[in-house]
Amino acid sequence: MRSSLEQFERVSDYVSGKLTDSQRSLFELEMSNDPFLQEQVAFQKDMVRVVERRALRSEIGAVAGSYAAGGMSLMSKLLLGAGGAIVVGVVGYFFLINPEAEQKSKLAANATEQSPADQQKELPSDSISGENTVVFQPELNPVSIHFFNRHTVDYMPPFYSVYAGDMMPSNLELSSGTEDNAGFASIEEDSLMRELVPTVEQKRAYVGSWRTSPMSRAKVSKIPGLRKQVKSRKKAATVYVTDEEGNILNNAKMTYSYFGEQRMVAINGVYAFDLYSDIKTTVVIELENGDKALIENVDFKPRYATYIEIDGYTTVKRKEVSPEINGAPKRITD
Amino acid sequence: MTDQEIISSIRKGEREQAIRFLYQEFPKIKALILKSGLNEVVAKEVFNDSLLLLIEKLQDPKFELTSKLTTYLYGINRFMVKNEMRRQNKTAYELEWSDTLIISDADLGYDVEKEERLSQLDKILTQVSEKCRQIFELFYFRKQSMEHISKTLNYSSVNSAKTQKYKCIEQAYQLAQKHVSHPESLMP
Repeated sequence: MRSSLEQFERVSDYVSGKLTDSQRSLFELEMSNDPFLQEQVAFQKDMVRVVERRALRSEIGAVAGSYAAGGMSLMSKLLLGAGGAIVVGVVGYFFLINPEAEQKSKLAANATEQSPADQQKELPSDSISGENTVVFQPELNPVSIHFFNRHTVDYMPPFYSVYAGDMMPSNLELSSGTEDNAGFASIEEDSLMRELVPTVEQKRAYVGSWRTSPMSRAKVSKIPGLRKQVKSRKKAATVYVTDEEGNILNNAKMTYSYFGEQRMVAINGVYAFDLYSDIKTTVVIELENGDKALIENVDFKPRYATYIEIDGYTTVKRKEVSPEINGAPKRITD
Repeated sequence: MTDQEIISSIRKGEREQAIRFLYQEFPKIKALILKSGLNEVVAKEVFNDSLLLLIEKLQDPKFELTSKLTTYLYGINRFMVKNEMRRQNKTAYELEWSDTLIISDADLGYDVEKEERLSQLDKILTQVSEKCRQIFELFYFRKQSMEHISKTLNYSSVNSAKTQKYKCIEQAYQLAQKHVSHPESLMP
């Protein structure tokens, strides 16, 4: 943005209607010859509209929530509906957790009056308690239809895996069987998400879920002994994530599963990381006998992502879904 | 509440009671939406979005209501259902809405591309810091002065708050340029 603070303030005053008639006329004359100024005005006007809408949605959501009060929470229904079973096909999806979500409206309004402790009391029963609280407010944060545009949603995020039954929104589609979509997400991954999110500082984070692409899955399956051990359901291998220096990252959880028909072993996982971090990671598969296979430079960062807000969580779908994998896994034990 | 009372309270920014009153129509409208072939989750989204559009219209001092307010709300819902059906490639069951006011894009000032841009921008708002969101809300929505904002958010001076606001907008703008494939599409 090539504007100065001074120009920004003028645009801001114009958009807010704070200029006098003569100032406004002068500004509009200047704007008529300056496309960039026009763009800035348009941008700030859109910002005003979006901010107003968010607050309004929050107010409508609060009323909608009170209408739904009395029954089970949406999340409870969803979880019960899923019955704890393994669910739907899904691949790479990324989460931007915005724990305070739409509640910001209330917080801002009451900022001068409420202590953090008071704010904490407002959390609904679905919230995860703890120092880094993640607010899950399905009733207070209704989903906008704009966020379910099927042109932007190709993958079902795990929180929607529980929609596998008749509660799945009709405007969402499962994209099963696509290049990167041979795996399965499970309720278990939801749990991992919930477990990981509080580990992230500042209450905001991307939580990436990564799983091996078909190509890398084939490579993984060639790790001596791994497929056999997984197939026989032995808990013989552990999967974890390290940073570039080999430190194990505690905010990452990886699991593996075996796909019988494809004779493949897939590594699934979720990884919570700070919003602006750009960490290159290595997925390590360690066999019982100490052998290790490394998948290096797994890039969790959701570049060129599409953002989709769901019930106070915001999912971020990465357009380039294949994780960056350099070279085949290699034995490092010898 | 009468229609005038609702409009008046919305224009004064006292919206909660009005929203509660209008939300009483939800069960009946939901039934219509379900009969149109959409599910319960979508019905709620459609109704909430319709209510949002209605309130936006009512906030415009130039808007003149030419029907009963609830009739207009039904009309917007019908419009939104048709949009949704079109998006889902479904056939709309017009019969269910036969007695409902017909509202066009132009009547409503509804522009699909504009809505998409706003949706993109809304997503961008989730990426800026919480502090920035607070500033945006206090400034753009609550219309608070920078003096008030600097005190509310504990800035050392008004100028510090102004600088922070500038940085926040700049951050949002940069994110918009990064994530919206055509930055010029942010133009109205």
